[in-house]
Amino acid sequence: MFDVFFDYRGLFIEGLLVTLQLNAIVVVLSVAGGALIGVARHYGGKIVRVVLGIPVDILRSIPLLVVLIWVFFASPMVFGTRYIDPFVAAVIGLSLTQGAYISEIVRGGLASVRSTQTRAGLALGMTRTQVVTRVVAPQALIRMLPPIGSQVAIGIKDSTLASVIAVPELFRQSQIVIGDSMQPFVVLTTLMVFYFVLVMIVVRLIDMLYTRVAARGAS
Amino acid sequence: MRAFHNASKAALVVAAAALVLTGCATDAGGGDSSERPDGVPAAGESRHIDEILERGTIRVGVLAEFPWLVLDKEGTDNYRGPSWTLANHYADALGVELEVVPVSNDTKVPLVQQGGVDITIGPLNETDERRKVIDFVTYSQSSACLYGLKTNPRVAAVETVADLEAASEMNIAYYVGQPFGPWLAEDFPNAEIRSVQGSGSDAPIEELLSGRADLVPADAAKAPKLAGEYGDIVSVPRNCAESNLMPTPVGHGVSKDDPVFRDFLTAIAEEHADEVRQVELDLVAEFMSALDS
Amino acid sequence: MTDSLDTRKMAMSGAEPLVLLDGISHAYPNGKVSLTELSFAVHPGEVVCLLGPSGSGKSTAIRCVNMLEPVTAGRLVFEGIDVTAKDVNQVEVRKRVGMVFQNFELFPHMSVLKNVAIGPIVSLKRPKAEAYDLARELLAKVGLSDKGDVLPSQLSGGQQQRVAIARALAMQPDVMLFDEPTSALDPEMVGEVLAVMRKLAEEGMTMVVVTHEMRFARNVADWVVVMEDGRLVEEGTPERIFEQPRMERTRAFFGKLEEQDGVLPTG
Ligand SMILES: Nc1ncnc2c1ncn2[C@@H]1O[C@H](COP(=O)(O)OP(=O)(O)OP(=O)(O)O)[C@@H](O)[C@H]1O
Ligand SMILES: [Mg+2]
Repeated sequence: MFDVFFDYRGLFIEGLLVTLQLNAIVVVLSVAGGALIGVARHYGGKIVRVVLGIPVDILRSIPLLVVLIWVFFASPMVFGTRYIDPFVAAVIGLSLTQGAYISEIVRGGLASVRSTQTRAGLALGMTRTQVVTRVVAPQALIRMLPPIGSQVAIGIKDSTLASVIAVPELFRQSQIVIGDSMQPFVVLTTLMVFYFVLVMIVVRLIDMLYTRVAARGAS
Repeated sequence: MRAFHNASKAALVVAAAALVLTGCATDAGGGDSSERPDGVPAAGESRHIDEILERGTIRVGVLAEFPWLVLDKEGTDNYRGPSWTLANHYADALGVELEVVPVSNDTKVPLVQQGGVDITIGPLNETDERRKVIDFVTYSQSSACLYGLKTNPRVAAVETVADLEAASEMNIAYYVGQPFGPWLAEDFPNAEIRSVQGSGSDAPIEELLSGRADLVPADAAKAPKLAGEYGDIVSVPRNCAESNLMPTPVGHGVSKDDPVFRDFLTAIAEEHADEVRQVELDLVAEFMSALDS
Repeated sequence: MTDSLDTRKMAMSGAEPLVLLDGISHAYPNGKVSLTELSFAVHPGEVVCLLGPSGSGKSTAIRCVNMLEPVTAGRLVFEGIDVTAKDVNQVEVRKRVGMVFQNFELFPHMSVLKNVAIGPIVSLKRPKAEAYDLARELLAKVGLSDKGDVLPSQLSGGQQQRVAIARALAMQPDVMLFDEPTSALDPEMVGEVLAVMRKLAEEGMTMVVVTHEMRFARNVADWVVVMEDGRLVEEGTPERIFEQPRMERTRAFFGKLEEQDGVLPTG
C-alpha cells in the first residue's frame, strides 16, 4: 500500500524540500517585512499609518489564491519579463500576505506596551530610539510570540495553495503522484500526517520559547 | 541591543540570499545559435522561433497526464509519451534543447498567451473556449468513458451508452475545470450532474468510493490505469477503447499571434504522426502488460 | 500667620532655585487645559510637596518638570537655564532628573539589578561593571540586596517601588520627582517606601513629591504647594498650610480628606 512512496520518492523528496525551503524563506521575509511595516505604522505618525494601512488591508482582504495567481501573471509585467518562476511568485505572494498579517501583530504588540513604560524610559534619559529598542520592543516581542506562531502555522498550511501556479511543493507533487498512481487516499492521508507533524513542531517550538520568556512579558 | 542587531542582520542576509538564489533559477539557459537549421523559417518571420534560437532552448509547459505525457517517477524533468516524443522532434528541428517549465491546470493556457512558455505540451483537450485564446498543434485524440463501481447495482445495470441514456437518477460527478459539464448535461439529461473540487487525480474516484456518485467521467485512455488500481471499477461502455463519447482532439497549445510558428510545428507533427501514435499505443500496451503480470 | 511659620529656609539662604516653573500653561492634545499660569520654585535640598484634589494637574505639572509634557506657555528654568528654549536638548535635562511613578513602571523583561543599572548603561554610557556595582550599592540602600537576580513581577508592590527609587537614583540626579509613589500600594507597604524617601530627604536630596500622604507632607516637606483646577491655590511651609490655610479652597480640600480617611496630621 505504501509502495507509492517508494515508487515516487524522487517527487516526494523534491516536494518536501521545496515546501521546507518555501516556508523558511517566507517566514524570514514576512517577519522582517511585517516588523518593518508594523513599526513604521506604530511610530510613523498618522500619514504613514494610513498610507501603509492601505496595502495591509488590501492584502488581508484578498484570498491568498487570488494573490498567488495575480502575482504569477502580473509580476512579469512589473519586472518587464514574460515569465516569473512559480517559486519566486509564491515567495512574493505568500510573503506579502503573511507580512500583512504579521505587521498587524507587530503593531498590536507595540501598542500593548503601555505608554507609561515609554515615559519611564524617557525619564531615565533614554532617547526615543533607545526606549523602543530597550524597553518597548523586547516586551512587545514576547507578547507577539504566540500570535506570530499561529500565523506561521497558517502560512505553512496555506503554502499548499502554491500548487495552483505549479510550484513543485509537496502538495503539488502529491497531486501529480495521485494522478499517475490513482491512489488519493494513502497519499492524501500521509500528506495530512506530514503537515500535522510539521505544524506541530513549529507551534510547539514557539510555545516552548514563549513559556521560557512569558514572565518577562508580563507587566 | 547587540543580540537584537545581529538577529536582524542575519535575517536580512538570509532574505537577500534567498532572493538572489531564486532569482538565478528564473533565467537559466542562454547561449547563441546564430545558425539556422534547414527548414526553419527565416529571421523575422516568427517571433517565437527567433526567441527560441536566441535562447537556445524551447520552453515547454509540462503537466503529466497518462497516456500522452507520463512522468518518470525517479526524476522530475523526465517524461515519456507521444507529447514528449513530438516535443523532442520540435527541439531537434530547431537545433535547441527542451526547457521544462512546470504548469498547473490554472496556468497551462494563460502561460501560452502571455509568452511564459513557447508551447504547453501538457496534453490539452481542444475545446471551443480554448480555441478562442490559443492555437493548437493536434497530435492525438481523446474520448471519454464513464466509470463506476461493479458493486453498485445501478452501475451494474448499465452496460452501454444507450442503457445509460435510458437510465434515470444516475448521479455523475466531475472535477471543476474538466470539460465534461456541458457535454454530460446534453447527452444525459436524466442524470444528476455535479462538479466537485479536484484532489489531483484524473477522476473523482473518491466520489465513487464514498457512494456520493454512481459514475464519473474520465478520459477513455485512463481505463487500464483505473482498472489496475481499483479492481471494482467498470466502465460505460464496458470497452473504453471503443468509446465514442465526447471525441476531442488533443494538442499542444501555441500562441495565437504567431501562425508561422504554429504551422512550422504542425508540419513536424504531421511528419512524425505515425511514430507519435505508435508511442501512445506502446505506452498503453506496456501498461496493460504490466497489469497482467 | 506669623513670620516664623512662613519662613522658607532654602530661599532665605539666597540660593538660586534648582527648578523654577514660571507661569507655565499646558493643554493635552485633545484640547483639555490642565495647567494655567502655574508658578513655583524648588530650591536645592528642598522637599516640595504638591497637594490638591484629583484632576487638579499635579501629575501634569511634575511631568512638565522633566519635559515629558511640553509646556504651551511660560518658562521652565532648570539650574538657571531656560529649558523651554528651542535649542535645549531635553534628553540631557532628563538625565539630571529622576522620576518615580505611581505604578512603579519597572521594566518587566529585565532583572531587578538590570532595571537599576540600565539608565547609567544606556543613557550615560557607563561601563557595565561600574553600573552594576552602583546598582548593587543602591539596592542595598533600599534594603533589597538579595533581590537583584529576580524579575520585578516576583516582588511585592512596596519592594518594586523601592527598586524604582533605586533605578532613578542610579542616574545620580540633581532632583527626584515622585508622582504619588504610595498610592498603588497596600497600606502595610506604604511605610517602607516613605521611610526610604524620608532617608533621601535627610541626605539632602532635592525632591518634588505629589502625594496624598498628609503626614509625610507635614513632617518631611520644606514647602507645600496646593493646586486646584490647574492653578496654584496657595503655597507655604507645611506648618502654615496645615495650621493656618488662607484659602477657602485649601480648607475645603483638607475637609474632604478628613471626611474620607481622617488623615489630616495636625492633631
Ligand atoms: N493624556 C491626557 N489627555 C487628556 N487629558 C488628560 C490627560 N491626562 C490627564 N488629563 C486631564 O488633565 C487634568 C489634569 O490631570 P492630572 O493627571 O495632571 O491630575 P492629577 O492632579 O495628577 O490628578 P490625580 O490626583 O487623579 O492623579 C485632568 O482633568 C485630567 O482629566
Ligand atoms: Mg496624578
